[in-house]
Amino acid sequence: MLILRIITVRLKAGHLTMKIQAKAIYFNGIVQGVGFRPFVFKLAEELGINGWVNNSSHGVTIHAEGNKLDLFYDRLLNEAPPLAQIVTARFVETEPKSYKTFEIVESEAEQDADVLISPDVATCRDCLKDMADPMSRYCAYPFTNCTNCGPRYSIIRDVPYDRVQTTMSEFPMCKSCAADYSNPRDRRFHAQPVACENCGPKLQLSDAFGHPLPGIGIDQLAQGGIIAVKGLGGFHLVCDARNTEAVRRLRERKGRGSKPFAVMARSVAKACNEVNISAKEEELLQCPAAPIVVLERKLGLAAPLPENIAPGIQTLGIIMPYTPVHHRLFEGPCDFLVMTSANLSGRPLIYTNEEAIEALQGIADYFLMHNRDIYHPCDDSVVKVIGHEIVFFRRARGYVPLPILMPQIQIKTPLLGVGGELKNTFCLARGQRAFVSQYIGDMEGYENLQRFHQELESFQRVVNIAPNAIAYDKHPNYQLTRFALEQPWPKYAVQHHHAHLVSVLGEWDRTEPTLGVICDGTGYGEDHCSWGFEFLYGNSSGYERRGHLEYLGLPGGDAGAKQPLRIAYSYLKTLFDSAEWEKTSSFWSALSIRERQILDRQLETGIQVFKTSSAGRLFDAVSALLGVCTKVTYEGQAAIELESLGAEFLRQESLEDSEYRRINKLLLYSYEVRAENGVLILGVRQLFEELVRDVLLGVSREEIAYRFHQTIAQAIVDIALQLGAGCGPLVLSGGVFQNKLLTEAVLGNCQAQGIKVLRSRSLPPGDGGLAFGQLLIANEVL
Amino acid sequence: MERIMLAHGSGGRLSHELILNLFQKHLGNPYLNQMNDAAQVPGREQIAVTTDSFVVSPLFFRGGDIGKLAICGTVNDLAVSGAIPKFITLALILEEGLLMKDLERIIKSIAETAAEAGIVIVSGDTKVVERGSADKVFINTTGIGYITNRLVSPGQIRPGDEILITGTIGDHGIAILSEREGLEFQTPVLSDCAPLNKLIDTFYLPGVKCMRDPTRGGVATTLNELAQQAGVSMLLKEELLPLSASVGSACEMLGLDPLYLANEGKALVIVGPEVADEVLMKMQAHPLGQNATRIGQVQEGKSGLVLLETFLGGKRIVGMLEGEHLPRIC
Ligand SMILES: [Fe+3]
Ligand SMILES: [Mg+2]
Ligand SMILES: [Zn+2]
Ligand SMILES: [Zn+2]
Repeated sequence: MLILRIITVRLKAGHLTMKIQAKAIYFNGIVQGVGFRPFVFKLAEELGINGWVNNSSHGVTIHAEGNKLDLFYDRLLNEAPPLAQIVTARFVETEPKSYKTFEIVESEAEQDADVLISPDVATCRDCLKDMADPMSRYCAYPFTNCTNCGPRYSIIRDVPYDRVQTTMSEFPMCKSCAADYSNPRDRRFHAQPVACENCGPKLQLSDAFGHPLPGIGIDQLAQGGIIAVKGLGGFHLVCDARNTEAVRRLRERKGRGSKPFAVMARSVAKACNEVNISAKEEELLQCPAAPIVVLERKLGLAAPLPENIAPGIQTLGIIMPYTPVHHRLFEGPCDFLVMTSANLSGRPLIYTNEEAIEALQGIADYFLMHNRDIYHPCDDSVVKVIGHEIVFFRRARGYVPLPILMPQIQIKTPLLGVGGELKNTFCLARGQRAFVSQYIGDMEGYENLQRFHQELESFQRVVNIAPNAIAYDKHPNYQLTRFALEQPWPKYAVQHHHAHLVSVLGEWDRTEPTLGVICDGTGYGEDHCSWGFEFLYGNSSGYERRGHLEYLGLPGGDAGAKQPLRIAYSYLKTLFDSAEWEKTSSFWSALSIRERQILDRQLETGIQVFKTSSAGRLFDAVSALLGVCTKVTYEGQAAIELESLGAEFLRQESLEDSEYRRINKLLLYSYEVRAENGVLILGVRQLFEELVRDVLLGVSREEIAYRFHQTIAQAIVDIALQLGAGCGPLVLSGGVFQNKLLTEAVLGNCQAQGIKVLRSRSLPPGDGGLAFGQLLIANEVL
Repeated sequence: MERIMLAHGSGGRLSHELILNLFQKHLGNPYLNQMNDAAQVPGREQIAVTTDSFVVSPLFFRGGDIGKLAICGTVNDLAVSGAIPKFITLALILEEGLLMKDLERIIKSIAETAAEAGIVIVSGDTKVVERGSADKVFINTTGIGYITNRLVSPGQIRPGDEILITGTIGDHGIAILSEREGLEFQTPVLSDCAPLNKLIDTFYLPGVKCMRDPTRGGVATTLNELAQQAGVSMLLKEELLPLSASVGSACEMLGLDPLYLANEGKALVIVGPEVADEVLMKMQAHPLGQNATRIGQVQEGKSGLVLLETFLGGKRIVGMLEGEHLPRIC
């Protein structure tokens, strides 16, 4: 039951003609808080249409009377505001009521709302103009926003999306803001976070002890200071990216090892001086979500950004300023600012002033804080363009809480997928929509686990789904396995790589059984081994394991995984005969004799050696053999540095389309595909023998890394074909497909063979997409 | 006679000789020498009773053997319960073919350890089983102790109490593992196997609220049980965990967590904060408690939750051990 309430101006009577018709029009999707009703209002005015528009808990409803109704409907669909996302649109003919005006009316909240909440949006051009305009009320105001931009998800406590339900409820609008807010011709009409200098949040710089300082920290940045800046979804640690010493200090204070920092650039033009940017990448940099885009560094620069921003790799994560505060930070001389999430190692993003001051003592020299609370802490999203398409590394601010829509799939009962242990996200679904949470972190950390519980609770309210069934990973030691088992609901444990496969299928709204290659770190297998390089055939109803990398021994489990040289030692010792093994002696100098003796005993007795078919560990081992990375300080480091090296070869030789491509075919390493009990096994003994030979011959590490990637790409497609991939589709999933060099090689091979490929497009291919797959599988079973 | 034969357990001449020439020779005392079907011992109104079975491979390891283990395990169970260990019974199950000299070595070790702990072996039994029906030697014991006025129980644990341990952790686990699997670490790791009753006598004072010996399952499992029983939460600090260098490097190499490794000569002691320093000083004054230290604190919070604050300052849950730690890095 809608209770209509007139909230705005009446228009003069429209022009009436004889053959009056009426339509009731319904839009659903992201149609609230994005300027949709003023847009409808203005269009109605232009076309002489009478009636009304309102926001209901199911979207936007319009009653339109006039004689240009078809045109009206078409233009509504085609000219909707930039942030609107219409999911369903329909109309029915209805009785004309002879309205004399067109009005914007508002409904009260209903049960069972299914209006979508918008993600946070980067500051729009118009708001930037306001900030630069000395005559504007919003001149230089660091929290200005409008219906086309500003905070959304991060400040929402509950639906429906209304100021009182956001953390802006603390700030009653001044007269001028209230006027803008209620003027349907104003860009700020019903922009819930609207505010100005007089009534809105305030920015304050302070020193490390909380003593207020003038300014916003521009001078401090220029002098090499480190500032903790409160942003949209949480705090960043910021310093001048050109200042090697400041970057070094930040890295040291944060205890960050070699993990790359993201860099915020003044403009795309400035960024172009440091990195190569394709049209697609530029589009991503400047899109309303404003993610960190991982880009290739330019070669041969006279004075590039310091190496210690991203040690050991040839890429940089670039992000554009996306809040007024960021834009103001660029009023100073710095063109590039390190902009890294403020969290302590293994702990969640810091988002309250109190915690920032306490936790960042000794890390930040200054604090730039404001008094608008963040309700949903949300990291920056990280993406990379691979094979001309976006690949998510981390999906959070700017994308959450956009749903995945699945017209072919019906979720039977409100479901929760809890996700994995690392890089956790969770997923809630109901009907034909699934909502994946923002990146939360590694569940091994207790504080992250608490953040999971906090967000699980509040996310349910935003997406209006209260689950009564639960899907989780089969791994017995995952923290969330324990949580799942404690819930009173029906529950289902899902095999890790099955979830990776189905996650991609679900994103493409496909239900038929499909062959997939899952290249991953490790996931608990049905046979208690650690899987990770799997050829699975199936869908949400089930799967068959049709192929995998041969099992090799991972000594020391997770502890061993942080020491790639030990993995390499184990793999080679197992695979090689004694003559071949002799040749490798020079590789192990970084391992003490004692360590080697113990490894030998471990391999003999099997004590604390875990059988794995992991693709990630294979890359780790090769990385160690090339001396690229022998001790890991962040997850995936060895493989990332190996990829960077291989990509380097491609760049240095500029071999993209040269002779080398042809010759290169001959230079692939050998591998073996054998059938064991009807399952294809990828054997890598020859690969390692030839690779070791190359190392000993002094072939460049870049070339070896390149050949290795090409070989694995070849093997993937080779085995897929042997398994009847035909013309596809072939699913590529798992975290290893964040490797651009490998993925593009696989895509190239698939294209050559006429195999259509399915990859994740709106979720990460890694564990960030796991929860969605878990949930779809449980949906079939429960 | 070099090896144990089935006849050694038949009750005949060989059995008799074994008792006389081995058991009585090494273990003899007025109670045992009564040679009755049941020993008569001086009693009390309230006694503490515990029983335990010991199977370990290898039988002999650096720092101990199965015999020493059997006495220590039993003595320690009594001692951490607040009792004074007094009497112990000994049932041996021997595999046919066991070397006689090995058995003698074990019996001597039992005698020595019992003497050190001041516990008297009052009754015993021997069975010999066919080859393959047992692994060399199994020992079952029953220990009897006199209840004291030491009030120790999980029910007394309160938030704010300190968690102490009498020395380094994981030594027994690594000693057994390295011996069994032939792993040679920098410095060989010795089992910490030792009777703790004398040590406990020196440090006990009112304010000591609860004691446990973290054997199988290690410190983690024991503290989980305690936290659950007491309805409290506990916070350990990784930087405070006493770890010998070799146990540390062994754990790092093998991917083992010392918190889950067995100890056979350590007590976890929960004390009120007001007596923590005094108890600790007394522990450290005893040879078996030289490395005694605080490792954490009892806290308000979810019942049964044990957390570890890592070197990096974050916390992680130290749960009950569920199978082995399988790889999770993805
Ligand atoms: Fe995974
Ligand atoms: Mg016992
Ligand atoms: Zn705007
Ligand atoms: Zn205002």
